Amino acid sequence: MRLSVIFSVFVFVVAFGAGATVFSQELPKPGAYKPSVPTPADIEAGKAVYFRKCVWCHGPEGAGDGGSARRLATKPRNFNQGTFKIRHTASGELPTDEDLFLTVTHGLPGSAMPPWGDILSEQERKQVIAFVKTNLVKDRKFDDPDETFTVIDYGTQIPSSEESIKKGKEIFMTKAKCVECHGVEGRGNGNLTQRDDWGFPIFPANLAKPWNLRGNRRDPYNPQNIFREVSTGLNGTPMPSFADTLSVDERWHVANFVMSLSNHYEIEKSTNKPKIGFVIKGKFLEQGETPNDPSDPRWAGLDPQYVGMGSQIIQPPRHFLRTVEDIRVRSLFNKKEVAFLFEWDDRTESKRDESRPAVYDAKAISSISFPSERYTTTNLTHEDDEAVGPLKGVRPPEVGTYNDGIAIQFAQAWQKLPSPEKPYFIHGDEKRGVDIWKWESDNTTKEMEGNGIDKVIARDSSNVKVSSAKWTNGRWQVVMKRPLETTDKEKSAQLEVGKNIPIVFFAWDGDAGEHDGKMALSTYYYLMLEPPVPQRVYVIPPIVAGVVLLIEGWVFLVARKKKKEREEEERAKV
Amino acid sequence: MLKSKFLFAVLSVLFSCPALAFAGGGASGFINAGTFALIVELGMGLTVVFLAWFVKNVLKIHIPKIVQAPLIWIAAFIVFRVILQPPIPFTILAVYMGIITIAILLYSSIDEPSWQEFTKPIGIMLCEDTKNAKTSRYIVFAALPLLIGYGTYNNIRPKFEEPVELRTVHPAPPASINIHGKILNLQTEYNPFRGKGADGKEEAGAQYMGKNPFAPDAPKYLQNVKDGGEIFFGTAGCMFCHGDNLDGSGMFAFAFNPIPANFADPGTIAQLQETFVLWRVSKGGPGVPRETFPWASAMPPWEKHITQDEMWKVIMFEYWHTGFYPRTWD
Repeated sequence: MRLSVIFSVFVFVVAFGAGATVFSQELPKPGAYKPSVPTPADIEAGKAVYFRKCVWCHGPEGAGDGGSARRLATKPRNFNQGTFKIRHTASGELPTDEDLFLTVTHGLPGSAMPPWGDILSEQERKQVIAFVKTNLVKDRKFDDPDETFTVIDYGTQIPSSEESIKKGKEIFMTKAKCVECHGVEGRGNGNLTQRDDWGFPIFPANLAKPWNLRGNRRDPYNPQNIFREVSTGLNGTPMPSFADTLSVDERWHVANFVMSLSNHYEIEKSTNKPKIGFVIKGKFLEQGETPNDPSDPRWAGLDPQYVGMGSQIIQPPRHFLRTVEDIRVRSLFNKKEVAFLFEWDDRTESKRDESRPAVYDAKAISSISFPSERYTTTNLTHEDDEAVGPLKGVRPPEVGTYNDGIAIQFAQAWQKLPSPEKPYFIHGDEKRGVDIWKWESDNTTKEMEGNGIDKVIARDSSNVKVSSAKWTNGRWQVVMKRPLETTDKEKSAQLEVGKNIPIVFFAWDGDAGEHDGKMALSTYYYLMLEPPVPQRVYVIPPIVAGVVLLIEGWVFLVARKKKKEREEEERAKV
Repeated sequence: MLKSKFLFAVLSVLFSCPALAFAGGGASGFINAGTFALIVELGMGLTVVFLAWFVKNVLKIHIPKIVQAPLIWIAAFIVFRVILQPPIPFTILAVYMGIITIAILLYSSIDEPSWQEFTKPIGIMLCEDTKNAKTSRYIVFAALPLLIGYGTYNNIRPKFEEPVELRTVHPAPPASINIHGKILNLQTEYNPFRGKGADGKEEAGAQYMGKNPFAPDAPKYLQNVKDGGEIFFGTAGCMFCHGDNLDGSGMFAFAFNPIPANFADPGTIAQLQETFVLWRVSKGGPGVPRETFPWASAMPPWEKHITQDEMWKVIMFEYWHTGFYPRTWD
């Protein structure tokens, strides 16, 4: 009997264990590796998949020059040279079949390459890889006897600990000099003048956002990914291999340190980004003034609320390469005023300077190697071209660097709008105006009125104040305040406690040529200034519990009485 | 005895299949999500029935009715709350659990001995004065008020969740629209790039599905598809939101609410006429009626950026890429 119990437990453990191991990353066997030789049938089937799904970015010849190439800042891979970033093989070597399979399956997070594992079957993915390996990698051959494949050895993983992180930090700062490119806090704000093997500008990875690291395999907090990339380097980029300079243990310490650089937000599986809650919560300060400084301990008690940002590609002037991908928001309020702490990553501190060229030259990034003749465009599509496009005569072209900035936007008189109606999220519309609070890095703070993207005017108001704005190690921290109520009830949003107040976020990176309508933006969120918890929440539950206790006592007495009666009856019978 | 052991071994393996299917299905993607969920749920149900049978008949352990009832209740709650995906709303969960509660009470009171067995422990707990009875009495008398008190607190404590706003995804289209100064009747208009088939009707394009639009000898239809793809990915940059697989998971999708449409889902363009799609493309977010929240959508009004011909080609590409056909008027 006992045997069968043990057996049943065993069967279930094995079954679920099998499931669990498939999901975690399997480590490849270290040492020499021999790639498989694809069959002609697989190559042919893979070609069909390629020309349906891949050609649009990677191009008909696999040269990374598909339709989207001109628009993207991480360019689609040019397969011709056989240069692949994410591998288990030594620096400069071709990748293993499994490496390519994992890249196709999980995509390259932070770039336009999606996880095809959700879309193509395992067979289709293997077939398309067969086609790429044989037909599109042109300068090298996977079956060339001179090609070597040396899979890295993970050794024994060192679990993360305070000590390991400390050692990793030391190596990061001194021995390996990671800091020179990735910056002191890993936000990728070091050397910004580098280019990749194809001549495109390339910026060091922001290690504080591991969900965007290309090789994270949708498992962003796993230090194995960092260990692998530090060991192999990223072919075609300035990221070298540290296999010869750092020992296995040292590389694990670095990986543990890199993992410690980020806030471990909960990751939304479908987007592989931190989970977004669409209600931004402000907490009530019973006593004292709202904090002026980002380092005030009262901010530390609040969770940063993650706001995702897209590019303003909706209205002219369209802008594709926003660099501010998210803002972290905290909010506190007292009876008088509300305060926000905005934090966002920006590799550069920018100020308006016509003579200083921008770090991200959006035009250079997008078109140097992709001459416009390749594209069938009409006059209407030249959204960046002031000579013929819709911007003709509207605005001068971008020159130099602009201010960094941040803004939040409320609806004017939002209390009067019939729910769920709101003004158009990009600076309002003709019927419904918006109230914009904007700060810029030349330390101007404005309250503006918007009735459309090209109808934004500054108002004569000094209600919005920024008490602190600091840029350190690739991150801005700005504390913005305003009284809850102001005198101009029509044009200026009145903030009420306990209501869902529609709010939109905007950000500008002056070194990406962003100003005015060229910006990063969110869609609608709600701001909820949480009212202090009413007294009754703490009073009613004990009363309810007391009543339950009384009922219990009554039931107990009744049951006892009945029992006694029954016993007496029985005694009487006897 | 040996026979029952053997039977058990066979059944164990059989009922572990859902777990294996879970592992295999998740890893390879061979089984689609719906089928896979069904197998898992079915497997779970059978596993529970089997476990009950196993405990009773093989292990010969008799679980008292008073323990059975909460066990069943908790198991059902876990299935509805945790295992069932996507999660069901609270109101439906409450209805389900209400039904389960009634079913358990019915089952317990199905005949007099059963009801006696069910209520006897309660009587003992209330009236006996043995050590065990006393201990259980103290526990129950302390736990009940605490649990109900906490439940009340949890209920009246202010919570701030996103308000539910019902947005119509496919609103009724207008009769006609004006693009670049030209009025189009949406009921009679058609995609000029499809061409006419042998029957004189618009080409649905079945013979071009999955064919290579970049082939040197690609027919006109596929050349138009290719142009549409270049616009989708390059000129217009639709893929920044709608994704490289047209499934609504582009690079900016995570930031926008409402999320970009998933054309690969049979519930979007596959349900719509091509002219409806043209209307949504040309007028974008600001062009939809109030019930579709024109203020919230990040869809550009494409008439500001591309020509009408380009829009038709993009739409053709979207159908070709997803393998769907537009709905027709007949």
